[in-house]
Amino acid sequence: MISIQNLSFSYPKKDSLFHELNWECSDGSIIGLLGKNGAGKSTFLRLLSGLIFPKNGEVKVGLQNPRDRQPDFLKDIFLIPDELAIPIHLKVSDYTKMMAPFYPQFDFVRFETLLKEFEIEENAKLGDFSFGQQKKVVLAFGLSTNCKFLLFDEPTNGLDIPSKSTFRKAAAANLGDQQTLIIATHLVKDVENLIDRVVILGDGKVKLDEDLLALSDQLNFGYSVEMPETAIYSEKGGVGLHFIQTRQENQNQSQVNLELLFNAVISGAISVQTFLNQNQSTS
Amino acid sequence: MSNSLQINGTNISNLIRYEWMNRWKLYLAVGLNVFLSLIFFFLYIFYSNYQTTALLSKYIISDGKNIAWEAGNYQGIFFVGIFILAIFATGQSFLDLREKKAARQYLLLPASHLEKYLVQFLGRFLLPLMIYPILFWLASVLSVGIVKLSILLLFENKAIDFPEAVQFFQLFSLPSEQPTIVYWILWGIFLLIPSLMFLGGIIFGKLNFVLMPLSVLLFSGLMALSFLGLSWILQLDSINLGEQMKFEVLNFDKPEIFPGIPLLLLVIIALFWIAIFLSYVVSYYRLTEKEA
Repeated sequence: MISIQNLSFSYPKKDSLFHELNWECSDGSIIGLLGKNGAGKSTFLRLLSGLIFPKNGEVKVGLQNPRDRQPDFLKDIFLIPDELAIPIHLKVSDYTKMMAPFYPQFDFVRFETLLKEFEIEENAKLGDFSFGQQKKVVLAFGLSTNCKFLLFDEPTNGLDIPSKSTFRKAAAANLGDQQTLIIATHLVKDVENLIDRVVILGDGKVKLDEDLLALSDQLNFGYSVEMPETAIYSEKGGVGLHFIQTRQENQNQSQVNLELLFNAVISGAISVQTFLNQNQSTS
Repeated sequence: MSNSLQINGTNISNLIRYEWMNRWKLYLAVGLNVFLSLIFFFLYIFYSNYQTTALLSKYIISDGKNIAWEAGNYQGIFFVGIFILAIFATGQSFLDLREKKAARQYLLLPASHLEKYLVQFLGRFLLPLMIYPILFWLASVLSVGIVKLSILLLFENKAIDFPEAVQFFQLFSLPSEQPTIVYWILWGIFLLIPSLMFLGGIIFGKLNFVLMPLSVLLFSGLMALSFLGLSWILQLDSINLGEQMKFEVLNFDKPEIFPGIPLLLLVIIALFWIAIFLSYVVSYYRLTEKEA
């Protein structure tokens, strides 16, 4: 479980990035962490991993305070930052020899399989790879560590289209019930079919935190030529309008349009309060 | 015991492997460079001595035995080498923390702060201090061998004293029969410079080799100036050379805290050893508080 209480954080000589932020998540979810540029997605992951420390408030990942960077905690968490620090003089196999012993649960067979799926040669030098290929190596490594908490910052950035699909399949197939994967990304479409929960950051707070199942239960995402009267948010798309409306009982569930949802939340059309109100009224 | 203070053999060996696989080329290059530089330096001295001796014996009446390199001459070079090594090798501590991307990976490696700290201490402090004397001794022996062989085979004038090689433990012999306080000072200097450079690696980063020596000089200067000022105020002495000439001198040797031991010396020794201890404490806490 991850728990954040009253988190405040700011970089030196900059405005506050998070103010009194509260958030919780139970084990075993794949979470999409969305936000505009500068909303603090990467900072959020770095706070969770203990690379930076909160100015105020408390962060707990599992039972540990990330700030302490205890070995047991570090064995249970794997962060893939947006910018990789990869030893380019090493072969993939040497990189594994160097890094895998740090993670007692590392699955070598899975790693080899994932490399094959990503079409990566184990005997090739990391320095001969493109950024995208290097990222595939680290993604395969991360998914093989069996760490309880996986924090991926822009994992699909730099991947080609087939590899994005491979990543989605690999992530979905290789995560255990107790593993939590948080994906911070601005490439919303890349994680649409992967995540089961969405968190949207904005203005230093969590603007939305909801399961996709709950979202598709409560909201209807559609497309029409004319704007429906009950739409709470709409956007032009092609010749018609993409819209979000409150789902009626007789309506079929629709697939969550993450991009539209994101824009709706950022514009203020949908908020956490909306869902709280809805939940209260249904209960 | 706190988990962050744990020392686990597996984690240590993982960290050593990480360090070695990342930087084995650097370690070998530094070792080889030190070794070759020493040989080059010794050969330069030995051949210079030979040429001078040969010249003297040719043009001036001389038995050609007046310029000879003795075993005792190595020690000065040895200690200068240690200071250079401290600046350029020990000062390279915590290389992974110099760049944000690498720092993020390093700080998240599953090992305690103490384990990471110990591996740095081992690689940047102990290893150079253990390897350097061996390389120094080997270089001296090899250089003497090369010079002897080349003179016997290639040079005309063979009537000179050959340079002496040094015995390994001779490198560490301290001046004998000195007051105990002298040894405290010598060992203090010997340990202080590498310790401060080790600390500087995590404070100043890549500019450590300039900024830490500069800081030490600045601090020493301020200390000396403050002492001079205080000494001038408190214990000013005058030397009169006739009626017109009068020099004011400052008393470095007063006040004496024990017979023959001025307060200044005691303060310096205390500061040396406190600084040695604190440099390790500060660098450890600096590591625990490092953000990336």
